[in-house]
Amino acid sequence: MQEEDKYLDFVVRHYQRGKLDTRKAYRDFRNKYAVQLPAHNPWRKYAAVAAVVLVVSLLAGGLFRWARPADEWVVLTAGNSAKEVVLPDSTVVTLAPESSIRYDAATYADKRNVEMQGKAFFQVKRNPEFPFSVSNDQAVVRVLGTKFQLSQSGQATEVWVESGKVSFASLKSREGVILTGGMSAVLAGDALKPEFTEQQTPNPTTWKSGYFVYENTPLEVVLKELSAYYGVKLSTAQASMSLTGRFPAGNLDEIIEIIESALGIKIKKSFNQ
Amino acid sequence: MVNHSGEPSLLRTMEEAFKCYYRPLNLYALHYLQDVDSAEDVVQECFVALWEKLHSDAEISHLKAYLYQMVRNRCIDHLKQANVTDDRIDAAGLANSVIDDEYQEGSETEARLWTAIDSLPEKCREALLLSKRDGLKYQEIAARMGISVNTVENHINKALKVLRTKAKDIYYFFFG
Repeated sequence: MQEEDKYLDFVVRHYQRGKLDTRKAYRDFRNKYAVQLPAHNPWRKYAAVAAVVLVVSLLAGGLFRWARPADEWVVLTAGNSAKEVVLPDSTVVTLAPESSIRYDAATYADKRNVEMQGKAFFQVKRNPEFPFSVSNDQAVVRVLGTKFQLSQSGQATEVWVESGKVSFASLKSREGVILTGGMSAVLAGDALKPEFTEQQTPNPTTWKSGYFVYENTPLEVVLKELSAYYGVKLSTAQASMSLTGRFPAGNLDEIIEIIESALGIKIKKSFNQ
Repeated sequence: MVNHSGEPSLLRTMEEAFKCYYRPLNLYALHYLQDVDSAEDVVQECFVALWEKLHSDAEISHLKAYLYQMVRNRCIDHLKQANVTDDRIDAAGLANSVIDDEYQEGSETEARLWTAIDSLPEKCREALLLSKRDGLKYQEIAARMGISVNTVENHINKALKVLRTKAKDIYYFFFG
């Protein structure tokens, strides 16, 4: 008893509610330092050489831009709710909660590259001269001008294209696929190349629009989507029926009630482990 | 061993390191610094240093030992910089490896206790902290919380009982 109380006295003396929050510390770390660093950049070894070349180039004139300080990262982060941000080229990015992007303010105009973590929907301003690209720690997506969504869950990155055309490639292998409107693909953690997927859900951007829209959609598909969105398991004996309607994404129980009374059925809700 | 096969696995290493060692390292640093905010700053700095280290292709054979060593060194630097003349931590004490081992060994138990205090019922926690941290008498706590002295005593006894059990339970999650 004596031994434990020694520890206890020490902890109690310093205890402050809400401090030493591991998750918050990790989130801060990721947002500040690990949004995305180039993975094992082979050029790192040549940094010293590059610096010499750079100085020479500087003396030669023209490349003054390279002398800028390296801290011109602009970091944009969404807190508890989705957030819309506009980049310097009028590209609009909608960030899902707890997601963030960053870009280098000094080179954005002619590189149009952003790095991100989490999930975001992009409406990219068309500019064939300077393709837009976004990468996370696993994949890179290049586009000319389009609307698409990139989301990372666990060790997989998923891209869904609403309109236009994008290339979606693994950072590690540089192998990729081309996606056009309505298509989606997923890059699993250990895969070398993204795989095409059937779009599993009718409303991939509900987190952004705030609505589920169904048009003669099989109930089975509806329940699967709602289950994934709310992290529960919904089932019914009448899965073959179809549903048409528009539901605000708020209270799941209300949505269930509306569907139940509209179709005259019973929906069972259970919780995943 | 740390896997160097690529960025996602480096991030996974970092996430694991945070989960396993963030709180224990803070409690360890707290023995040196005696201030929660300074401890969090130092420990966060060490994780950033680890992240950079992982990118430099250097081998880290024992992650835990590496982190503790780094936290200790930075705490001592921090104290030297702050020119601390606190008699709780004299120069001889800083070099005392016996005491350091003790801090290190205790830090996981202390992290578990911190987590256990987090999860105490609110009234229990409040009574415990007012008594043991802020040094109030049971009567003063009773007046402040608007409950009887008897209830204060019950709350504190209950809190201590829970904490003493959880301190020993090595499977109790210490990362919050």
